[in-house]
Amino acid sequence: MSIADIRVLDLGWVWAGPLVGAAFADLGADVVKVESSARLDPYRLRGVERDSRYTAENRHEASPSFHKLNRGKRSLTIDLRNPAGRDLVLRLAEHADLLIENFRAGTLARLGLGWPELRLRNPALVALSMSAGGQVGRWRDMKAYALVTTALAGYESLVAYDGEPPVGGATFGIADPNISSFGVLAAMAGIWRARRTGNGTHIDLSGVESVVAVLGAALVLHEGATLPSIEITARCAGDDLWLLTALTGVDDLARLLATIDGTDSAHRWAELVVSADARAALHGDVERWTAARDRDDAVKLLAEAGITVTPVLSLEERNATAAVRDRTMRIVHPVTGAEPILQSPWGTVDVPAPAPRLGEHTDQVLTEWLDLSDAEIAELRTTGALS
Amino acid sequence: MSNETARDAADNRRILAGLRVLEVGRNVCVPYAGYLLAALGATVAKLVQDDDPATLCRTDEDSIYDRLNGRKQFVGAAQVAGLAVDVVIADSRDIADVPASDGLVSVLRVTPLDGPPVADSALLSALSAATWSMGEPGRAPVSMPAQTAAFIAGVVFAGATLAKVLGNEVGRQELSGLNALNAFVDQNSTSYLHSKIGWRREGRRAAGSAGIYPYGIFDCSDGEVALIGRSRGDWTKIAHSFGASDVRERYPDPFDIARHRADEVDAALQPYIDTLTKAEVMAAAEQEGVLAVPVSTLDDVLAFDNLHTERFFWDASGTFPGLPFLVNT
Repeated sequence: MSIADIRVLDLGWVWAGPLVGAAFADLGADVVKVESSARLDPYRLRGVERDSRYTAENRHEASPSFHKLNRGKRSLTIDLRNPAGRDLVLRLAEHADLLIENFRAGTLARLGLGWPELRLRNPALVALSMSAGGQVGRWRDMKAYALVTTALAGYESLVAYDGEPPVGGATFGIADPNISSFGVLAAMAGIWRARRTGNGTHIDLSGVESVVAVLGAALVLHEGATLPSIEITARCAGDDLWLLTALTGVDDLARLLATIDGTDSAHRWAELVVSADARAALHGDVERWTAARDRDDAVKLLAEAGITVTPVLSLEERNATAAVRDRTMRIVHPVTGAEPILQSPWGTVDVPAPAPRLGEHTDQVLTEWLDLSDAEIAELRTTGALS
Repeated sequence: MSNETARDAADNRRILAGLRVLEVGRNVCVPYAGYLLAALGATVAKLVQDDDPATLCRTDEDSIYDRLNGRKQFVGAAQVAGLAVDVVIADSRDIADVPASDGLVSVLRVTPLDGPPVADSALLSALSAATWSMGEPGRAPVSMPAQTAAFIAGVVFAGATLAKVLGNEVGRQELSGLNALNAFVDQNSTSYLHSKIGWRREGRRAAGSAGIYPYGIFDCSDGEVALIGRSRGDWTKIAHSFGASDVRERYPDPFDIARHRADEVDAALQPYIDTLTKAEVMAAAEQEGVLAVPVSTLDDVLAFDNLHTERFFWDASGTFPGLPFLVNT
């Protein structure tokens, strides 16, 4: 069995849920996005709400964010509040290996699509629930967006200048993609077990805990462990150009001081790892050296001295690196044309199909997965289940 | 939690029981991936090489190294040949360094770096442009917190490892920690690029990215709070919560504020929040149904009693996080 044999029922919306489905689609799985015109995935309008190039008829097919998070999937429209629609989801779940959802905790259960109902229909199903605070406990009813999740989890308080209040990382939100990464891991583990044992699993994933989980090193340092490295971000000549160097011990410090002609200075490693003032003094000495130099020249000199160093790349510079350029696919969407889409970090077996238009594959999926006839599909339409 | 329930939770988590992993990891990414696989029940054997003390973070007895590797079996090079494994995970910079094995081999290589592994996390942040996006305009960019980038890459790598196992892919594979961070940046920057808004340091707020005001961090009398609105109704509620309805009346359109008047409205709104404590902000927000949370410190996080469960802060220290999900079998 391969990844291509995996069938995914993707009830995810916005960001975190759809990204898990996109990872499986990139790996070759058959991923069906279940959505509804009655309650549109908000990301269908992300970034194009006021874009005058689109009309009311095609605006929901134009969002580049939606296209990235839903490439390679098929779209099936079902109204989950419709009893026939609910029953259809249960029937589809009988043929799925994985069901993904990131509604607020308890939403699927209220619709009669909770884990007990799903497991009854398909004992081998893996159901992945992703919510801000998990399905149980104090935060279960919490509604959250990225910054809420990372603020509550402690991450934002750590994005700060030394000794100053937090500045936070509002434009670079780790919450959703990080929750998705744990979602992919948990889903893969659940499917691995299901294939060995025939038994399914319900994964109850918490967004807040997902963020705290990647703060393990920060928590250990907070307890008093010694700083493993000292990082210096120093301004170089030119407009807003910076380099970052990381020192791991006395040898690195000696090499750095020799390079910047600071061997007479009083910088001591033991003091640097415990004192913000000592680090600030070292930073000043380094920046006096870098500020007069071209960034790339300074990086080259420090690297030649055996020091770990890198330019701090802007988004434009990063987009021009081989790591991005060589991994960017151009996927042609019927409404918006060719769009650059970065390959998944989990791997990509082929250039995926563009993100589906709303309900584009409804008939196709119902025929393939459930063997429904045209007449049966037409009958479902009359009930409103397929809207 | 009763002892019986706690035991059930621990047993249920072991859904990878039977998977055998050899870890050749000196960095943080791969040891964290191994940690996660072990937490899920896989048997993880860690190859300890002669120069291992030089590895990241092994600076004292209470180190990240010890936390990441506590649940693994340590093996020497001589024992590896006879070891039956399903998958090898490694962060060797030279793929040829990975021990020969009949098992599946996946290799994580953090490209394009060539320095000591200790700094990889900060470099990932810098090379992916994540660092460039954070901080105050005109000041130095701010890196992601300690090793966060490496931990993030480790989660992706653990998932990718299982994808190789599920796909029965045999052979040496290369994955890059930088790809994980680049994917995060790509998703965050897409709507900025599309809307031709500069995706860069805006201090405490994401004025244009969210498309609507507010989306950022504000000072209160005893710390900071994060406030988010997603509609005109949210903006009305937020302003009303803090007795700032006059600000809302002067600035009715949260889309317009986000794009053109964020500085002005921040200055107008801040005095209403300055005087409140975090608890008062939360109480006001809860009453109005507003999305607001305190900006937690790590002390706050460690004090959340709902995180001190058998499945999360689960090791002896009670402070190192485990899996962020509950497994119901």
